[in-house]
Amino acid sequence: MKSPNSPAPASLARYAARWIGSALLLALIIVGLGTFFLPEVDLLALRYAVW
Amino acid sequence: MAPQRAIQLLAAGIVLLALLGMGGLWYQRLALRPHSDPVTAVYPPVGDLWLLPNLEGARLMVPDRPSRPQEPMLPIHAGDPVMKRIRSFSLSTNAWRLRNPPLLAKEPGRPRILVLGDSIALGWGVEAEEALPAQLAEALDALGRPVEVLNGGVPAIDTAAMASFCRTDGRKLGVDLLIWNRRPAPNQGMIERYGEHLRLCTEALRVPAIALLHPLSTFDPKAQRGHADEVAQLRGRLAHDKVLLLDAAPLIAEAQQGRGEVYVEEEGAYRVIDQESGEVWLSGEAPREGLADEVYTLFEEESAVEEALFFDGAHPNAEAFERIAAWLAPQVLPLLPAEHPGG
Repeated sequence: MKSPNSPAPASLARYAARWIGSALLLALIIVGLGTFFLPEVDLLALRYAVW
Repeated sequence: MAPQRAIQLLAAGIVLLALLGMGGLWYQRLALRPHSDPVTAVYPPVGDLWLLPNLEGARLMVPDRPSRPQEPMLPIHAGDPVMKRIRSFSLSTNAWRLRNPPLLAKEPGRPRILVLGDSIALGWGVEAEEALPAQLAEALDALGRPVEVLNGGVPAIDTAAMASFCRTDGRKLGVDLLIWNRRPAPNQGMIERYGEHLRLCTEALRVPAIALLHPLSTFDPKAQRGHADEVAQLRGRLAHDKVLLLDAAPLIAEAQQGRGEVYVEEEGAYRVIDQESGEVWLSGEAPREGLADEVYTLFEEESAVEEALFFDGAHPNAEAFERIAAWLAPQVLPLLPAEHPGG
């Protein structure tokens, strides 16, 4: 028997879309900003000690 | 679990995953970030890496002991677990990308010498005034012939890029003598290539040239093995081009006698010997390439282990450059333009 507290399937889908959508957006912002400001490593240093 | 709770946990998991992923990447980058400032970038006129212009005291941290082949592939970074013997030096350049103060108009009666070469010409690991070009200027001054010596050293530079430099910026520098300070790369066909690039450079500059070969560390057995053959081949190749070939290796090898640690290879076996006490630090079967791992560990663990006149198994120290400059200066003198009468 269905619990009286269980949401209707349609509203559960909306709920999931809202939460997962927000989380994905936040993750995208984190990855985007994190990548944009990622500290640079001087790969030219590879040649410093080669002569 | 209520479905809402599961959705919230899933959403939190997505955000956490993004944070952890980026955090890991940042940690890796920050840990690998070298203490050294960037000093080179591709310079289009020469088509290769060259020093950046107008560097003001860029700081470089480099190994202060021979390093494993893969070690220089990672820049020295904070809390390095393997590389504890580190030295630092500063690097400043002028607008011409030379390790000199800003160039002023050429003084009459004061010839200009260009030392063009790799990290050893640059004075990798030592300060500008300790490097060969500055010490050569001092040695010639002491002989009563004031000159201006330009430091055109670039780490790991290829001879093709050196020739390109001569054809572009080099010919604008008003140079009177070229010191081509590089070894041929130890590949087949490199002697011919070396000679050809040197010829292109002297033709562009229209000046006499000295091909100056580097001193060799005993901890560079590969270079030691091929050296005699390399010099003989170069003598043959450069004889046609009237280039004076000078080899600093015997000079520095002799100056190392009785001082510091040396690496000796004989009949497939190696020894690291303290020349002052005669003690053998290490011995074993010589590896086909490079040095046995124990040799690097010995340098890392015993601060007393030090090769005289070299600091990293390849690059000479200030004293070595002083010796080379004193030996080189009298050989440079006859190639300089005649002095002005009374000048």
